[in-house]
Amino acid sequence: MLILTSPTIQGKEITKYYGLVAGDALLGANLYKDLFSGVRDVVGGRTSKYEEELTSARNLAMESMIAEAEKEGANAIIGTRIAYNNLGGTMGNTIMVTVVGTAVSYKE
Amino acid sequence: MSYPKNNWLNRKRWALIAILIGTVAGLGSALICIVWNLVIFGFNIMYIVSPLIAGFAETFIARRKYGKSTGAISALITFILINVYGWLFPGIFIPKEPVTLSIITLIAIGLMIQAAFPIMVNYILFVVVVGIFIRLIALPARILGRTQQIESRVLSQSDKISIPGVDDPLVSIPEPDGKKIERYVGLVTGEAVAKEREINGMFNKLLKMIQPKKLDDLHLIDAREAAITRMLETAQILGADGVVEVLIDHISIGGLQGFATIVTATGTAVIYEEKTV
Repeated sequence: MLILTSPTIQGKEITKYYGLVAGDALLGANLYKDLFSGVRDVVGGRTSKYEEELTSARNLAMESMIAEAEKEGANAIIGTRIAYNNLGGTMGNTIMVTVVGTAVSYKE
Repeated sequence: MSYPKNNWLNRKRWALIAILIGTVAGLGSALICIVWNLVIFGFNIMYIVSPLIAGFAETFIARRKYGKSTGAISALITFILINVYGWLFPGIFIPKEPVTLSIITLIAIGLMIQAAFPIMVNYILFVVVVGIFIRLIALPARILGRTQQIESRVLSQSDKISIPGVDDPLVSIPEPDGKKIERYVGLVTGEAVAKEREINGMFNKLLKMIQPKKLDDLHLIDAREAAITRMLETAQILGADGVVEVLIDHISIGGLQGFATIVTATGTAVIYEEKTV
């Protein structure tokens, strides 16, 4: 499965458009627990716990988008956009990761 | 023929029964408190316990039978009745002294009101009191009369980062001019948390809560460079030699206690065709 952010695939011909496919994942952030105890001291380092969580949430959203595209019979997703939305809350925050793309079939 | 009033009674009968049972439970517990003279620090515990018992019994029955909470009306009824009894007509049932005002009774009245109107009291405690506190802290900044100006400044260019050994720049457009893309590798992403500048001193920390953010308060450039670097590292591992359509997104998370900004970079990793001259 080829996943691209660009609207076209250069050098390839798109044979069929299947329409929008999307995937969502929620990431619950406890500000006390994750963010300001764990993150602060490791921000300078490689990755923090929080960034890992964000990555896994995004992967989850991508997986469900890919599953949807595969069900349609597509072999590529073009024009993919990843949106991160803060759903708010005072004690902790919930972040929604949304991945939207267009499922297509292409041939050489 | 249907009678709207009968219908209403029929629909609400469990709610009414729940309120009735709650009130009876509350008053019953109050009576036990009076008969057994359950007094702590000169204050009968019925003032606190009875509305709680009434509310609990009512909510328990209402949830089971009516399907939803009825809003602890019996707690309110119990609260009013036992206070009328305690303050105005003491000793009707069992002869006793009337309630007298002291520090203990004042605290107990607070607890009693909290038990009877939990939502209102919590609102006052957590919204009104905190709000007044924050306004008071904001006062010095207002007196200083500093008006906040919107800052805009060119931050350093971060497209100087690129895959080692490759001089192609990062682009935010789908097809860079004059280059043929041989193969698409796929989506690559990277993210980083923007570190907040450390603030020293208690007063500055409090002041920070109410002042608008300044550009210097966040290590935005560092975070963006870290996000792009991570994205490029992923691209390099996948064997790409360029990334097109790079989008940078900022999400802010945080509530009352603090906040953090996450910078994310998304792009499509590609392999360019060898330049043939």
